[in-house]
Amino acid sequence: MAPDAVPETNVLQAVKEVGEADLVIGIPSYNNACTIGHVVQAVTAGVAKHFSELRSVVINSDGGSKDGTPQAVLQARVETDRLLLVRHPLYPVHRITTPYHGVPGKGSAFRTILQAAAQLGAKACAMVDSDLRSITPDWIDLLVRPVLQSNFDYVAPFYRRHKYDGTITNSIVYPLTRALYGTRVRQPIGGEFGLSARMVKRLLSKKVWGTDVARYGIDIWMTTTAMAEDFRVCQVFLGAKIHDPKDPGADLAEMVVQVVGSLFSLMEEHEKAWKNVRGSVPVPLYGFPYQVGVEPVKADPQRAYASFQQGVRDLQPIYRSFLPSAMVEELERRATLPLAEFQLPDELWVTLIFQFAKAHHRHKLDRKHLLQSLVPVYLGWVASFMKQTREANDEEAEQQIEQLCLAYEQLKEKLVSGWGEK
Amino acid sequence: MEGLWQKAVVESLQQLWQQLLTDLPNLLAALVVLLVGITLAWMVKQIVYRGLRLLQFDRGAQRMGLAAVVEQLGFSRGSSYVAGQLAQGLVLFVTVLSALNVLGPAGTDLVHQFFLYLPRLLTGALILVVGGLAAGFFGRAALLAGVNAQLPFARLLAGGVRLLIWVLVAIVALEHLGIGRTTLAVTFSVLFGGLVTGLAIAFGLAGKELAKQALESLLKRAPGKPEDEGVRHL
Repeated sequence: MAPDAVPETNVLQAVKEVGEADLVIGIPSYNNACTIGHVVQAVTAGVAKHFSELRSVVINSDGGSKDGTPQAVLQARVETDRLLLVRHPLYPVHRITTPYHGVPGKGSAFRTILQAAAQLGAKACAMVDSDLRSITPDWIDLLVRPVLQSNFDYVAPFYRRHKYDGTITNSIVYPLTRALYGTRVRQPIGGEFGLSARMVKRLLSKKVWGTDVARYGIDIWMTTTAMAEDFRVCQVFLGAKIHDPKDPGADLAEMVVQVVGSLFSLMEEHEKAWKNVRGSVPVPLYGFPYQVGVEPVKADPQRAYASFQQGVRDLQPIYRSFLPSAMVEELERRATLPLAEFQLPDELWVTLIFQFAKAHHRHKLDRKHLLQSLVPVYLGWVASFMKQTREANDEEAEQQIEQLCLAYEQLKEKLVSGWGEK
Repeated sequence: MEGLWQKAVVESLQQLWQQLLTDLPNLLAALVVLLVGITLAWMVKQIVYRGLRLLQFDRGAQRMGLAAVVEQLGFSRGSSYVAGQLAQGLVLFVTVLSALNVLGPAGTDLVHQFFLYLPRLLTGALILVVGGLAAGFFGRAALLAGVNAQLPFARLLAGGVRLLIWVLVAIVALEHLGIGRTTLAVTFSVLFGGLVTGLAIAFGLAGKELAKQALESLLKRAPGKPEDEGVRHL
């Protein structure tokens, strides 16, 4: 076990023993024994290299891993003499690993880390995912420095990604949050964040920790809270994000239900904050943007399009219960086209998402069923986007996303009008 | 001849007249009860229908899935209208029972028997309503799961789920009402068993190749894998 590592089941007791800290780095985990050692090493080296004068604590909040993740955290060693540090750390970096309590999910892990940060009186707190393979010590500097030096409350990540990496983010989460709250945070569900003490306090005061949002949508909740409540937000360039592939059994429908469901639910909570917002403003971007090789993604629109066609044909009675007839007929017409002629224009896609959001708000259908019925239409967008950007490089594909964002902003009136009707 | 006429016709008519005179007040009272009841039922229907419309009951029913059941049962004018009709029917029912009660001992006996049966009837109706809701919900869940897994027979699957639930619900409801208990159970077992065996044989013999292809295709790409479309969704 590394020195200053505290295996503690009661995190508050462990925190008491540490006393005070200036900086808390949280690593939520669940069965990440393969990667978490590297993450802990990068974090510890980052603290030693960039914040040697601060008292720091690294907290791993674990969801009951069966693969020895907590042991991997405590055993991870950093040989500081091989880091070529200009200044040597004044304080040892404390390390705590603890199981979290509450509803299962990332939200409870976050809460444990935030509570510890508040109790330690930390000036800044950062969170990093435990499945990262591309994290470097500099990520800690990038996530924390804007909070400590420039008084930002919320630091969001900015990655270089392949054009077909993160299609739910590109088609719904980013454009919709941008159009709603008027703030251009490119990766609202990134997984790495920097937080000020003020932001930590505010997040802990929210009554969300026992809900599905905490269970499934903690990332989008934090970003939305920061944007909707006018906290100072910035982004930092972290290069490429390479992480362990998600559980291959993870179901697309379940992903859509969790992510889009959280986004739609947050629209209700922050109705006053977004209704009068028009247009959007860029968010400061720190760090040094550079070109990186991103993981290649092999894409084939055929299967996505086939799913769209089947969905439009088989789910027609469901769509008719909450979409205007003209829209259903338009989808039906497009679903009969051969793939070569198929396209889902931005305007139609945006209007569809607004209709789904309104139907979710009005409980037109069981909410899970409503969101599940979005999957085939979303795959139609994916097929259309793949066709449009087949020959495009990542920058050109990004331009397409920008066009889509503008369509969301221009058509926002359609969302606002009739939102309050029950 | 005259005696026969006197006995067969006149005495019978006199008896009928006497009977009529005895029962007339009761008959008139029953008629009045019926008229008042019919008027009251119409008024209750209007009040319930308009009141529920005012309270936007149709939207709530849609949200709970009740509207879909109402539609499935063949009512196309909305849940408020059906609720109004039900209220009217209930008042009419009570009216008929009251009228029968007024008619005398025979009517009273009929009413008594009906009230003994009423709890079963209400429970049966409740079973049908809850079952209808369940059939709609699980049918839709099966359809969505099938479509999202790209099963070519998703609609058939959903229809099968709905039908199975409806059949089970109908059997439970009729069983509760005490109608054809043994016959129903035997009929269902024979039909269901026969259907499953028939399908298995048909699929095994005629669709051997098709079954092989379907299984191979399912095993090659388990539904919903993120890499299915060649993109990373999150």
